Amino acid sequence: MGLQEFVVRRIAQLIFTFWVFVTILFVLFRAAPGDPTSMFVGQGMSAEAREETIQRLGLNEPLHVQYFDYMGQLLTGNFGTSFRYNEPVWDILVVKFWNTIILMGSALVLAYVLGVTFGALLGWYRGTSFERGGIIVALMARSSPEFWTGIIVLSIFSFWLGVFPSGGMRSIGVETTSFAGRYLAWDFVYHMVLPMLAGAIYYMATPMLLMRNTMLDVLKADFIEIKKAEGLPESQVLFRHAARNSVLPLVTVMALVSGTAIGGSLVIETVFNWPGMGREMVQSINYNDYPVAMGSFFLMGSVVIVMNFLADLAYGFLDPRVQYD
Amino acid sequence: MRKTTKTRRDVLRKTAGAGSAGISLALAGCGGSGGGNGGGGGAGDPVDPIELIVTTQDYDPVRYEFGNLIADNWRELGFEVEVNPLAWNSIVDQAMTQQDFDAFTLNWAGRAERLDPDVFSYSLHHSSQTDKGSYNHINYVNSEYDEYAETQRETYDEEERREAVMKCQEIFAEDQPRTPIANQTQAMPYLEDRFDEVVNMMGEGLMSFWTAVDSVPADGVEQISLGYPSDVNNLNPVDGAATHDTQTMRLIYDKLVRIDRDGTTRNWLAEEIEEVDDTTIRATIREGEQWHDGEDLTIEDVKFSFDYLGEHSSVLGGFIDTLESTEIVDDRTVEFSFEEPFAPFIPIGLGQVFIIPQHIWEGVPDDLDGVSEPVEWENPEPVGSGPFKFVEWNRDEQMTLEANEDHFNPPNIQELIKVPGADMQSLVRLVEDESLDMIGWVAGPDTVNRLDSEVDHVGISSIDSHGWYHINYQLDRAPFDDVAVRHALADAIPKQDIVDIVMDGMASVAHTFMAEVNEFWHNPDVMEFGDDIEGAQATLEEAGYTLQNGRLYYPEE
Repeated sequence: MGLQEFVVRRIAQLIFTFWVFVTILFVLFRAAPGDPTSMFVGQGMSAEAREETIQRLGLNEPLHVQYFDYMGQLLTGNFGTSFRYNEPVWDILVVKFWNTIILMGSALVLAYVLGVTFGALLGWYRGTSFERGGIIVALMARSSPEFWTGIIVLSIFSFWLGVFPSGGMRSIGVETTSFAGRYLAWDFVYHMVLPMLAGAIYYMATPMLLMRNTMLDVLKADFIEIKKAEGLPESQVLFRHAARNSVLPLVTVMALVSGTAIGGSLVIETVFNWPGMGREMVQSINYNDYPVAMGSFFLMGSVVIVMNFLADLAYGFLDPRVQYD
Repeated sequence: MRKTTKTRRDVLRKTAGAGSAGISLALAGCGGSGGGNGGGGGAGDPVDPIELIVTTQDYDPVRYEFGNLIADNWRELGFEVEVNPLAWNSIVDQAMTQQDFDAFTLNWAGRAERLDPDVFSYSLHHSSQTDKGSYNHINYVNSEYDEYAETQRETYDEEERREAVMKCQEIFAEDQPRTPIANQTQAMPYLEDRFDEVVNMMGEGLMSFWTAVDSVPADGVEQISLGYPSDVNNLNPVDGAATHDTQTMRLIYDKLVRIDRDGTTRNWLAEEIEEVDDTTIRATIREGEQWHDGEDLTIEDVKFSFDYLGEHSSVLGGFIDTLESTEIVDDRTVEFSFEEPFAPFIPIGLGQVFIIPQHIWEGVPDDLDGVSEPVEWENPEPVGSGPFKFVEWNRDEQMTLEANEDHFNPPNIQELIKVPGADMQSLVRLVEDESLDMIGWVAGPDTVNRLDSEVDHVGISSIDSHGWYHINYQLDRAPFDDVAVRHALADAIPKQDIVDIVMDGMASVAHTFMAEVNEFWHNPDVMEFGDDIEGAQATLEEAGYTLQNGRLYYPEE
């Protein structure tokens, strides 16, 4: 089977995956207890008001009618309107999406740069106390719950040293200018440092340990010995030859992790009061705000699905030995 | 503990007939709502097991903890009790809406409009309010009670109305269809040196309208930030389903009257309110008020608001569904007419309905694309006539409001920044590092004690709430259909321990639905239950219940 046929087949699979995914989402959120009025019943919403609201939102229609309505809407690229915000889902998610992408993206880039570098070094210096210490640190970072790491980071840098703010995305009382101006302000970066650090500490261990493992395999290979024999400087052998050949498995992991990045980290967003997707997902489920809940999960899932698709394709280019079948 | 002179036996005899809710229903076994109990209180059988629904621990540790304490004491009486923690929306759906429960813990929040006795005496306990989704989800039916609840609705004379409310509380206490447990003391943190004076209000603490309007910032402080553990959903006055939304909108939009800090009504946009007769009320508005966009506020706007919201807003419309018509009398006076007398109309109707600008809303939804109903409009830049003007809002980041200097009662705070938090702890940290000025939500006892003793610059504003923690019984089901059982269950509740231990003393024991802090309406002489296991055992024994191997059995025929 050639590349072309493989791509076509993968695209067909992709479409099927999306359909199954959206259907599962639809059923899942409807099956959850309560409805969009539940959260407001305790806040004084009368029985009549509740009935009217459910009718207005079309939730008294049979489920299959609602399903086809939603699917039809989705095909035109419309995610609907939030039940509780009275705003189009897309308008709400787009802001949170960027808030999250910038934070988690930075945290992941930092985690991967550091993780790959240290992982390569650990592999290179196998059997030293440096390696043992590195593994212990990596495992500790990985197994500490994020909220704990976050609170430790906060207590050191915010409360003890007083160098960074304790939460939020901007200083209180600062007016925003433009959409781009929000993220290009020093104030924003200043607020992002700690959550980014907490995230990076947590996400660093996976690439680090994975890199070390593949490095160990690669370092056993003959060509490394040859390169060493050629008299190349150690750093060149390590980074140009050994490390480059060890990065492959990380591509797959990257695809999966990017989904996490979109979903944001609920815990980090909560500890640092960051207005991102993770919190929005939880909120919209609590409120049974189906359009927002489905929209945000759809967005997150789509990234994972598409990234996996791209990773499959990329494999072929990265490693000529991969067969399409 | 008991202050009343009546003996338990008197009460039992008295309530055996009218008092016990729906005997006929109870005989049908597990009435209508399905699920729950297999048995049905047959004579001589073991008493049906009780499922006590509580919130999850992280949603409200108080309800979770005291649910467990109560269950322990009930087991001691010989009941078989299973504690079931559920997510809040499941509780709402299953217990409040479907009425499918044995017993569950709840807290009626102390909202301003609940200072008026109508909600707690009528909406919660009148027999007409038992439909699914209404507030009498316990199916309490007592015709004597109904009469007094109706009287308080129809009586304009405050003393007479008070009398009826007192009676309601008395009957309620004897029947115990729900057992009140405690009124919380609401403690909220703020930065001391940023204020000359901080104003709070029962039931809402620092989240109240008067906090924003009457608090005095320290010299040179122009910006005050107020934190809350979640963000506003929307600023559409037609919607108004969420408490936090209306708490924010009432700063931007005015009302004819406001509920004052002591629970009485205070004329606001209305200069004068006149009761023409018991189905007609006239309101005269102030002169020279303007909308935030500079247009004049006219009497047409007032009529429009009541007509428009009455028609399009299911929530606000619900407050004024007794209103038949709103007619303009002259250029400053409107006349409200009702089908039947409705005493709470002033606090609950006039005190809740926002006055909105006709020149903006008359085009909603017809002139807007993609909006089919007024409730679905985003209202991106709300224009009201209230003490604060809307400036900007970034969801989950902050909302900026500025003082309306042209208002008849301009606020002392120049700029109010509302800061949503992911949770309470993230807000407390912001107050600690002095970037947030106050929080409009209750801090837990541990946090309050720590801030109070260890952090110099943080003050605590405390005030009792008229909201009440309580426990609900499904009166349609055995054994709750027997008033003796309810008395025993209530007596077994360790109210004092709950206040002292679970709530760390930041509460007071409650025996009725009108809290002590709400002085005018509170009845201090009702029957009191709680903290009396021996009394509970005696009550059950007197009613013919027997204990066999630690398990309670129904009386023999």
